[in-house]
Amino acid sequence: MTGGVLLRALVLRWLARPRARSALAVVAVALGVAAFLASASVADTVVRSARAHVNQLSGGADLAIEADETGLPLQAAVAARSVVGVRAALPRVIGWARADGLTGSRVLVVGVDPMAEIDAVAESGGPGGADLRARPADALAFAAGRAALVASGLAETLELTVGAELTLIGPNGSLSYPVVDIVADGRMAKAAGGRVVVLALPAAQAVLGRAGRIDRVDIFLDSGSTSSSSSAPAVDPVRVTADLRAAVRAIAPRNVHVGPPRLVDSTAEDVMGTIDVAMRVGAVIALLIGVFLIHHTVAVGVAERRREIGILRAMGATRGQVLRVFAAEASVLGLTGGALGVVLAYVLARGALEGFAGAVTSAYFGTDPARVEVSPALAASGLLIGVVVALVAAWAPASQAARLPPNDSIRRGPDGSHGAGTGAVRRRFVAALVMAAAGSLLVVFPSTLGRTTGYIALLLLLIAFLAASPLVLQLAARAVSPLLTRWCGVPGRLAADDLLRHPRRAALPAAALAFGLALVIETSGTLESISNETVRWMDENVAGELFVSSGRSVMGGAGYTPLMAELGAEIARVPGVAHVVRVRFRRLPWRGTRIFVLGLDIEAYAPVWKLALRDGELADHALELTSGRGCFVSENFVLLHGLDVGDTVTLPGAAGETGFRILDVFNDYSWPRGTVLLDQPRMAEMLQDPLVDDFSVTLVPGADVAATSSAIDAALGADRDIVITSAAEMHAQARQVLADIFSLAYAQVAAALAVAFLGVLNTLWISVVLRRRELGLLRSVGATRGQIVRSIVIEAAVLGVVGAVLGLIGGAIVEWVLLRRILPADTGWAYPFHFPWATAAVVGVLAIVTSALAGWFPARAAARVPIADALGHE
Amino acid sequence: MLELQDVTKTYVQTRRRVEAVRGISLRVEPGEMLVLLGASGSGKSTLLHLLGGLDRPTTGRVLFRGDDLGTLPDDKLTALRRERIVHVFQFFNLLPTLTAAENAALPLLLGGVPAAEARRRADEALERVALGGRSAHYPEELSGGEQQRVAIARALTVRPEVLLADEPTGNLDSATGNEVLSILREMAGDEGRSVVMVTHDEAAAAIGDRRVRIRDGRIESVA
Repeated sequence: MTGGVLLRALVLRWLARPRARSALAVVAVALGVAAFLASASVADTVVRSARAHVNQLSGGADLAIEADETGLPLQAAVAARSVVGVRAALPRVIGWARADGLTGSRVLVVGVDPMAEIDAVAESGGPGGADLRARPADALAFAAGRAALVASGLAETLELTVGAELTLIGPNGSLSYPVVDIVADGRMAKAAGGRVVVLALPAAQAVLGRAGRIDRVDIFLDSGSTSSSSSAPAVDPVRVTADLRAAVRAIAPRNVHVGPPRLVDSTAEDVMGTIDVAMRVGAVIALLIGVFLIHHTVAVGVAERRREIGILRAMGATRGQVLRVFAAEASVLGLTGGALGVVLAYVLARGALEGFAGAVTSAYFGTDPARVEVSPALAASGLLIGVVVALVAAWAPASQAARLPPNDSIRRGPDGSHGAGTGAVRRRFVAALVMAAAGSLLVVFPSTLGRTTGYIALLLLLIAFLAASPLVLQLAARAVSPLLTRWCGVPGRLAADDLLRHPRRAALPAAALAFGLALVIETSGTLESISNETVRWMDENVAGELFVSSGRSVMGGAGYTPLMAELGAEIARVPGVAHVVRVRFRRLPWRGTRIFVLGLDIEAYAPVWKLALRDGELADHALELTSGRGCFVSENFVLLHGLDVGDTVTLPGAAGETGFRILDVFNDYSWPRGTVLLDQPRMAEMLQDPLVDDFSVTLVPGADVAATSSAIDAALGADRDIVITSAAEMHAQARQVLADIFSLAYAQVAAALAVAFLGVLNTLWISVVLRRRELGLLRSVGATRGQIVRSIVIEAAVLGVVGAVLGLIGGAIVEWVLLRRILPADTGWAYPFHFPWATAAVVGVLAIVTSALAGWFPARAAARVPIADALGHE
Repeated sequence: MLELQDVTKTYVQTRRRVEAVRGISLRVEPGEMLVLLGASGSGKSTLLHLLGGLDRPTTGRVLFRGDDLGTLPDDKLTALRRERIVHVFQFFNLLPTLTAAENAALPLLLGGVPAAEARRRADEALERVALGGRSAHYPEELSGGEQQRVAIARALTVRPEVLLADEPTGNLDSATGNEVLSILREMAGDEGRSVVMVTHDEAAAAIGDRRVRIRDGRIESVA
């Protein structure tokens, strides 16, 4: 009851008034929450995509036999069927191809054993969920590899109907199939965004150029034995798994995985971890700015309601009651902001984030992305974050309200100062120094707290920055005060005075701006540093003027199809071609994560070798490499896994594990968990994998790049799905992939800047409201409206300058820590630091102008307030 | 010199209309010290605001040397407040970040008078109110009476034709209040200056040449 009265007296009526600052605080929290949810939903989507790629195609199988990219012989399925407890073992081939008429994306080709599917998955109707039992002729055509089943999504896009002809273009040429059914239901139809074609195994192998190989066998156990089922299983999945391993041991590669399908990509989180955390740094900064604004809103609210608080305390309200009332107000703001943030995150997920998730998924997992979604659990966490953030932000001012002595509050009324005295400012500065010192120590000793050291250092430095900003602002105001007085007269002097008098209040927008700018600089600088270094590295280390692949450039992400290695000989015969290097890369499971295994045809590569080795030359190790005894590893591999020259890397091969002695170390930016370079023919033997991802083609001196590209295209045949990419295009694609990956960071930057702008507007508005009487006085003694406006705009511009300087310095520090401490700890990559001067100049000027503008709006409003009202304002 | 012609002032608050001034006509003569007397809420401060151009009448006219303050453009009204009709408030209304001399010089500085000239005149004005030795002090370092004298000095630096004082002794003890009253009394007539003072204190009102008693927004009596 009492709480209700207090709530009504102090909060509800207060909030019900149309107060711009409450709205601004809510919007700030909303943007922070949205940025946070966006990061979380994208990370979730990328990991989900990596898993879904497998899961959607497994048709709900209980277990799977998978050989990564190596492939399995068809006999693996036959062997699996002999295991007791296995109801069905369904072989599948999965790969990407181009569909005639479909531009901009690939289709996922799934090869199945039709008879096995019809027999085993009767409840789902048949292969891919299609029911061909009533149409023997169609079933026969499909089983014979002469017809295709098409997912409804693809059929709709291509306007295909039953009986229409579908032409698929693979690395070996084009093949056409009549459509015998269009499948709308089932997981398979929903994979790859509905762009799925189901063929009989031989047809799929023909389209994808994988004669005699299958990618996986999906295992269905006897009824009731589902591994995830809560009912009592008829068979023990653990025993069946062991039996399956034993059954396929003789015929399948040793590195096969047998187990629940989803475990195949358990490494996704590990690979995603780095990107995920980097994204969340941005979101946390955006949320921090929201914290400032809520803090400020509640603090000013407390200052303005001193009299009411005093009256209530005099009437017997306890401190706890007052504290709870202000906590309730913050909760209302936080909950509203959180709810808005969830809505905003939904909108973002439907729009801007798709490209980002796609780029990350493609680049890191070689699959198409799932749809970005904000799950109900994530939405609930958004609301919770909103409330928690608001409560944390409001705690200090709410406690202050509870501690106010009743008599003093009533007598003094509203407190316009809302600022710390010089002592408090200095104490904060000392605290800032301590935190900065601790952060700097962690930067100097980056392994003190493991992989999280860099993040903790960053957090400490950011808080130190924030705590130091009032004193920095005071010093800046003191320094510029004479200049402002000289240049701007009384308005300039008044502006400087106000900054000096209320450093904490004034520091808030400056800090908000500084944080926003720091985020811009950090993002832009990091992108430029990584982008420039990657392109430089490609220039200096990647040999070849043309790159031949199938379906898509290998840099273009998911959707390209590996080629048969023999194609290299055809390319080598094209006039103008000097060397053709076979390139194969695989992401192999290793020590709980995945490493990048890069196969280069060393014999062909030796004449054009550009890769810089740390200790020696290629010639020193060529023999050991080509004999399959040695390997090179990347610098980040050495840093992350602690192995160096002379140690042995043991890799999972088709016939068991193979050890490679580390011969030398090279610089490589292909994979955040490290790269092992092998001779491609030896790698093909080890993995029983004759395919290559692309051919790196070096031209004879003087040969025309475009003409040779056309000649290769003509020589390989127009109906083969061949893509030829020049080195320049490859560089551009690399930049584009990086830009896509950074797109979320830029979205966060936009959110942080928007919040920062709101912060400046909010704070200046509050500042003007609190100074109403003072401004009225100035008007009463003859200050013109223009002078009032100028004074506030000058103050805002000074805040902008301080915010810009702090932001640029802070951004450089954050970028440096990220590039030189956090990324190396996470990925082993230490990119050179590059300060984004052009961006800094633009955002610096923008911050000052924006800040001045943010001051102009409330200044105009303040100058228009009738003097008598302003003087009577209490 | 300064004249109110059938002036009314009505405020519209959330649920009611407040008629603060109801048809007052009054003339302030050059060199005269006029005291507006009345209880709290009688409308005397509103009247003072109307006389000084801090507020505009709802109906009627406020004339200063023939100019209607109600229709004067803002820039002219601002200049008038800065140079010719100045205010002294009950709560002094000094800027806490400026010294006594800077506060006193503020209207001149706002009007573009060179800093040295403004400072010289401010020092003169502070001397006149016996604060010559306190010119470098900030308001928080001054007593209430001294702050009010700085406020009067601020009014004097511009050598105004009219000085409007709103309860100038309301926040002071009686001894200090008397000092302030005698300064104001001195100001009236000096260079033909008029002083209009609002008070609810009968004793303070005694120093006026004329006393106008206000009640419920109307003139009750003139003595």
